[in-house]
Amino acid sequence: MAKTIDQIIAWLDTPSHRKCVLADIGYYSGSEQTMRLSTTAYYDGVNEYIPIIMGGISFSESLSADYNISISYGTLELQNTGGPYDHFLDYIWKRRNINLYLGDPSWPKTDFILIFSGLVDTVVSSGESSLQLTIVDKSEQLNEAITTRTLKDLSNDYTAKNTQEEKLLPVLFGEVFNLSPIIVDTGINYDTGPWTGTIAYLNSTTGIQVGRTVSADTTTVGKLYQGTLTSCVVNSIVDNNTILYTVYATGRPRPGIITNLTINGVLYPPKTGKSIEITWVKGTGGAVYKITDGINTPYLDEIIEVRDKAAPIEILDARSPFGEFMQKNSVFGTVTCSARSFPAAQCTVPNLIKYIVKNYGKNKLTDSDIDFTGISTARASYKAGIYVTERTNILEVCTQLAKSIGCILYYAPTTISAGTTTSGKLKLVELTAPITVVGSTELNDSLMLEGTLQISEAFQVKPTIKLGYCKNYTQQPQDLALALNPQHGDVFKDEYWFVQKSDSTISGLYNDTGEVQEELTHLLITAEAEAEALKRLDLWKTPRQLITATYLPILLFVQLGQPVTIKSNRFGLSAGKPGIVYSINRDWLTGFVEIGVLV
Amino acid sequence: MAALNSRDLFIQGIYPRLLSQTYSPLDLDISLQGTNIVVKLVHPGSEADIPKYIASYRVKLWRQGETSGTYASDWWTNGWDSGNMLEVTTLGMASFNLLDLPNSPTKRISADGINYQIACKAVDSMGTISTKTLLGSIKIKTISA
Repeated sequence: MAKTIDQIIAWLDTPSHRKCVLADIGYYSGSEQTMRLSTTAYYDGVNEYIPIIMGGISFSESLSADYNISISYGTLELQNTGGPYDHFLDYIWKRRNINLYLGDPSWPKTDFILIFSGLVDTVVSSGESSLQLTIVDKSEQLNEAITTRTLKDLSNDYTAKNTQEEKLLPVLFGEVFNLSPIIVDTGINYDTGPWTGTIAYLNSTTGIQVGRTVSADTTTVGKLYQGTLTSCVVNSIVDNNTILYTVYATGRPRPGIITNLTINGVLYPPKTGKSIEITWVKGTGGAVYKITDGINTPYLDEIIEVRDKAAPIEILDARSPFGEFMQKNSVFGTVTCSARSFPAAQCTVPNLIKYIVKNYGKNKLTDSDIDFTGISTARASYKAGIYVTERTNILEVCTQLAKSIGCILYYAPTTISAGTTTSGKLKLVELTAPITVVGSTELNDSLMLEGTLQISEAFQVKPTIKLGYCKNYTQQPQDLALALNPQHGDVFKDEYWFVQKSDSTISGLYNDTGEVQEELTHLLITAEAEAEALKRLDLWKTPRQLITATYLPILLFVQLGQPVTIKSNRFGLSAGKPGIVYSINRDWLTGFVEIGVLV
Repeated sequence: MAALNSRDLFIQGIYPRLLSQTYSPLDLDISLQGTNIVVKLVHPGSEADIPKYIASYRVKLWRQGETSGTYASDWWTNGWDSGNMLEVTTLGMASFNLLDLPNSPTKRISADGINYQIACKAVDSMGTISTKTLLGSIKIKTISA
């Protein structure tokens, strides 16, 4: 069983200890394989480790004041004098797992502690004597488009498919206001039927009787309708080459050309030199608008309101299982709607992010890869929504959602559990004003490498916070319905609603110019946006600094976002100040760790 | 439908959402001219004062039989009775030729009087029909010898 963190720290404090780092690295060379490298010679009882890791076993992680995703990274330096490992350059390493373990070469591998769990990015060579293996955290596997499905990926049921094939199918997460659904069926051909149609260019209609069922040849019948066939019968015989038919089906009949027609088991070939043509009379259904593509069922929880030129209109059919609605009447202008993908209680930011990373992309995460428990209860319940209409990266969408509640998305290289480390998890770190937390880790001078304390960044004071929320996904500055009540004001005109929170005392003290940088969110509710603005004001109305120092191995296992108390004789820290861990740079070979604390 | 977001909640609190929903003429002027029941829509000003968002008015006539007075409730959505109902779309005046209605089983006119109900609704430029209905009636009877 892996050593505990306390045992590892005690071991690192032993003067005679010998460090060994083992690396299990996935790669592809004809098949998926595992490469085993180490800093010193090691044999785990089954596999031998190649001792070519020269150094560079340090990883940087950092939060971001603008709530952008934190990606940790590092480089392993591999000994390659004379080129015995040049063939590494021929292998495929991209997005393969890498696990690094720390321990004593005299220990069995099971005693080693996991210090990094991530992905390989590339292997390059900067000189003749070495190779560099770049490693990143597992957020890299979310670095791909959330959807690439376009109209052409829809079934042939949709008439717009052939004219706008490359148009991306939008995806809705949570609830949004006034989105523009895409029209996927322009015709008035969706109906419950029955429909009548013409089958022309038969060689002969002799023997065909009215009322006979056209159902013997599934290949042929399959071209007469879309959906589930109830029955298809001969309605009348027009002449020696043409019959009329009636199709009863849940779907709609389909025009086209067929080679043969079978009626009651009798084959009716086409007229010489012709193909049998099938036409049909359109029903009285409506145009179909798609709100969302997706993979959940049903795609929509609720269509809140459909509008034509901002005026509410009735729809013919919600078609929620397909993420669509059908509009029967002619429309006068831009059709928009407000809609929600999940029940209201499930539209929280953590839930939306979790849903996206578990269901989208090639490398889907599972519940065991996710830990969103570290944020405040309030922020965990805030509601949001985002509507993806363009090719967008999964990480980008999730980052935008996380930013909305003042959190930073972060894939921890390892997670501390039951006193030791396990594989990393996707986390949310909430950036709040540091407060004193009883029992928090103390970073003091006795743990610090002498002379390394510095103020590495001073953050700008913000006396005012202006948050955008409740995005209007279709701005309509003009051409609204004439009959719209003027009380609607600019509700359809503005892209965002804003809340603003200020501290006039701070504004005066800092000679604030009054210019406020808007921070845009995907929050939906005014009260929640106000609370979030107040939280950010509370954080940034005070001068904040990033104080960095290098500490002893006892602090190797601190985590980003962890509350700490920093104490030093310098920079007004003698009484101790609460802070949160903002950046970490661990050097596993020396055991020293550079920690940046936001105070 | 229930929304979470503040914009939808805000607009759901606006009444009426469309001004056309509560718009109607001021009154109806109903008269008999020959075999026609003529319904003139009385507006506060001239026809030019009708708001631009009003596209037309729909006026329905319903031969109710030998009853009296204006029907107590809005009958606009009653099932269509093709033997006793007519409808005209207009901006100012609706004319119903009684000869367009069959003379049986209900007579067009009688000694006790046949009551004709009138109902009028506004239709806006989006095709939205007003929720408000203006009701009226006229009773037509033969002149006794």
